Amino acid sequence: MIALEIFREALSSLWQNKGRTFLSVLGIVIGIASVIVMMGIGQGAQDSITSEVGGLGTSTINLINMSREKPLTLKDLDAILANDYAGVFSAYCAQTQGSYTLAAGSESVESVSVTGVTAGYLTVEGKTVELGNFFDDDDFATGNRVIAVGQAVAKDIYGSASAAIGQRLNVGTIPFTIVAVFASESSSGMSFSDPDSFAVVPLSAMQNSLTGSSSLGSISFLLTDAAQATTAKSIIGYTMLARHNLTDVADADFTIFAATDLLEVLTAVTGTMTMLLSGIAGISLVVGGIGIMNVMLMSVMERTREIGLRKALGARQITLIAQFLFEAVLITCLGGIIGLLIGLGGCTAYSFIMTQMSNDARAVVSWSSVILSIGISTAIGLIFGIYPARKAAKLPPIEALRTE
Amino acid sequence: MANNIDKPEEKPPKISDKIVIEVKDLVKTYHSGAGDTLVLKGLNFQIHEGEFVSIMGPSGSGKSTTMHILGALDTATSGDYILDGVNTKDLSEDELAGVRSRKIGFIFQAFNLLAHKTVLENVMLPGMYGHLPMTLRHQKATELIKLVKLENRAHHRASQLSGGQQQRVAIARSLMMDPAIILADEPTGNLPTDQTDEVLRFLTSLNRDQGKTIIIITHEPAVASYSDRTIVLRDGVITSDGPANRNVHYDCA
Repeated sequence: MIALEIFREALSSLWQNKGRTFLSVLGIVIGIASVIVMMGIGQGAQDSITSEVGGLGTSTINLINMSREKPLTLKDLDAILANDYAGVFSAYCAQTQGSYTLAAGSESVESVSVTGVTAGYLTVEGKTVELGNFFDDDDFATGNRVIAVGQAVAKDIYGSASAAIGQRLNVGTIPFTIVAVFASESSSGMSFSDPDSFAVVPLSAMQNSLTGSSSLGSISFLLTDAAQATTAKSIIGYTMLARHNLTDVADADFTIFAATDLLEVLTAVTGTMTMLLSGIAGISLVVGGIGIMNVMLMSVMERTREIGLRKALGARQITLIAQFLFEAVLITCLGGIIGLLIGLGGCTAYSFIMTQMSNDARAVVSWSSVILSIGISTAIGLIFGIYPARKAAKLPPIEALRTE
Repeated sequence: MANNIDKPEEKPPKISDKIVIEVKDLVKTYHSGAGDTLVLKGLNFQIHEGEFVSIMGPSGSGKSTTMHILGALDTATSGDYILDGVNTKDLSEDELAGVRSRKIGFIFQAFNLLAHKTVLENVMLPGMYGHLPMTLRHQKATELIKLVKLENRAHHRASQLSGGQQQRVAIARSLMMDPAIILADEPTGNLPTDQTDEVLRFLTSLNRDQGKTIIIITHEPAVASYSDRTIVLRDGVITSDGPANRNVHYDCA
């Protein structure tokens, strides 16, 4: 009841000084708006990275060949699978990759990534075939020269996906038959190449007809449970160390890579960036807060006589503190709300401009940053308002009344 | 010209046996860089309920300091000030605020209204600090505004009124919490002569009709002449305390 009336007194005195109130609100508006925009951009970057890396498959682990002397082979794969007593691997795919010119008739495409793969490819890499049938067991076992191509390859050489099916395609100088065309993939912000410009052949065909070597580029494993990444990495790591007669992990001539590792690093990096940006924006909030303190102190000085009168009429210290605190908090809350709205507008504008520039980056405003900004602006009002409020309450009434 | 003003002396004050103000050996010293200044050098007096007292003295006599201590706006360096049976020496800052709220009504030379508030809001203000319910506050303020004959100005801003009207608003405000004592510090100092008489007659009627104890601080004998008793201060001591001289008029003050 009394609090409501003190609140009304605070409101009316702010209204009396509209110009001053507006200027002090402005400081907080700028602070909160910049914090919202910075946090939005940071959060947006984080979301986009998470989804990109998530696209790599957070439940895949790659064993990558790093050695010429002891190259990765299918025997290594057998050994790893033999050690998987716990059944952490649900699928796997050995791969070896090369870059070839693809040609048919007068049409050709240079430097296309051609990968020789084993049967688990579609499952492990999460690819879908749009037209035709992917390689069968016979193709994988005997090294039939069959090839599955991405949308870009089919269109560049044959004009369309359907026109490519059943056609001959030379990989370098070796002729293959197109049996399947993959579904188109959306462009990811992280790679600059066309994700549909690639081709896949059975590993046996790759080794027999193109590389002439039994060495593998990498083996990808799909986990039954993403939480078992650590177990999976140990199984792979210890099997390989043993096979290469190594005891020290530091000597390893192979690399084990999990997408989750990358995600952790990138999340940490963007988190730090967000903190940095918000920190810089936060400085403007502190400056705004000091502005509020100045304005309130000025207000106390100007209203010395009024404060003295209120005391003479029986206002207790706590009542005066409450009134001046209410005034400060009202200014900062109002600034917080306006700043929030401007910040939301800024985020929308940022996302719009990025869309126009065909960039994936977006500014995302989360509920937590909304609540945080209102909370922070209230806190600023309380923190920077308490000193002027106490100063007002402690004014001796006679000194206050004497002021002309 | 104002020689023929009749003071409402026909009606005698109703003074009870109850002592509302008792001052014993009151001393006030101000500390400053230049050293201590002894402003009040041991005052002793009592004021009974229903008295109309003026405190007079030239500037520097200590009358304003006395007023501030009587109004619980300031505390004595030593000695006792017993207000309505309570020794103010023992009161905390907030208890003093409570005393100001309930026992004392202030009237100032500079009126001290909140200029941007209406007459009604100004009169109601002490009610907020005295925790009166809103409806009661409104009702009481309306009655008081009628009492000071400003009912057609209730919703005007204080800044739109003349000096005399503003001081009447201040009088209404001082009565809001129904205090036992009204302290008026040079209440007519900023008013022209015709409005002075009006305000002083008003204070007199409060004393005569409502039995309010009124203490008025002034350096003008003509203003003091409205009261029944005058305490004269000079250099921090009481030089006389007795019946007021009621035969002083404005043009001979």
